[in-house]
Amino acid sequence: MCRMCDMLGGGTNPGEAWYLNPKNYSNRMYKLREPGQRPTEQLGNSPNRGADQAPTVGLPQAIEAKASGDLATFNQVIGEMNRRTALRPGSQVVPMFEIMKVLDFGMPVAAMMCICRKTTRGVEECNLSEYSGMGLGTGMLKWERWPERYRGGVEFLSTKQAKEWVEYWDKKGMMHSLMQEGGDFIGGLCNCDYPDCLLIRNRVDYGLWAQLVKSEYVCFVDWEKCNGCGDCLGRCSFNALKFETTMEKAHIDQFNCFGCGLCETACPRDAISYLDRKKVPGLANVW
Amino acid sequence: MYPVVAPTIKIDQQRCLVPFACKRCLQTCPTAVFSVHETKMVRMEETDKYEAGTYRLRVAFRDKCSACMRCVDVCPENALTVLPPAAVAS
Repeated sequence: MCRMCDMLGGGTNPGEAWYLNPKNYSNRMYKLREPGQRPTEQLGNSPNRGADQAPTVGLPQAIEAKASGDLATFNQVIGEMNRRTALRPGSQVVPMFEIMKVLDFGMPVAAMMCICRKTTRGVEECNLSEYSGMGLGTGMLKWERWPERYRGGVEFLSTKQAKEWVEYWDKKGMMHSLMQEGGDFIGGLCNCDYPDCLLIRNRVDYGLWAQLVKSEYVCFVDWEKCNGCGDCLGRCSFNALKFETTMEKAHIDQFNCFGCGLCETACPRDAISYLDRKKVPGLANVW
Repeated sequence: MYPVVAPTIKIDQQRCLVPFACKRCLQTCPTAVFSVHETKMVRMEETDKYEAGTYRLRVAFRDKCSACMRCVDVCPENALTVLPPAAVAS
């Protein structure tokens, strides 16, 4: 039922999700490429990244087609990209309480800059108080092997520090996802929001669903407890949360909900809870 | 979705020399249309954002441009031109 568990194997205990299985952390990072072998194709990257516009493949091609009013080409390219990415595990949204379980065993952890925010908003993250991305797992022991990726440095954290750091970003309004960079290992933990996060953007704006799939949970508002205070509003990056004026309560669109739990962590009355996606028949296969 | 032709954005790369140091357009755009990329990579060395041409500004999400002209107003080098959409060819 769990899409990623089918691909990577579930957790060590029955019913646990794939990310609670230590085997899924970075074991592949140590498999070096054969000489002459091409790296895995990174989806959405343009080979002529220096050019102003009109790139030739992948998402840039789709965007250019859409911007020219050519929806047929747009849909065709997006469809092709989805067919390709659907065969591989992508990134997955994970609520904070599950992230805390991951951090209990997912060592080493290191905070680092976010490449999306740098690219789309020119944000410079140079030290621990600014870092918003995290590398996770054994791959971080050899981070210097990829200095291009970790420019700006990394800061290794203890489990306690890492948990406080995730809570800090959760409070600020960033949802969490386990990131795989197109491979089949867990590379890192992202803290993101729309529109600067390219994964959220690709999914919400362009329908590239397999790059970022929904979490194993769906958020649910208990209207007996919700008093309509609105503290949760504004924290959803997926257009799933609004104030329903008719009922004077918070309203979550269950099909738009990614189960990131940002509304849950903001609710002062515990009115929002997590439903297990695979136990809700109509949502079990909505990824 | 129905077809909409987006505005055309032109970047004068002779004028936009230090986009990552300036980043006014990146942080002003309401729909985050722009992106910035390094053109020079030196192993283990941070690219100097003040050196002309080490970063390059790109229009990454042109379909999201509403031609609100805020980037044009905010650019200190007048490097940006936003042209209204061409007529729909359907």
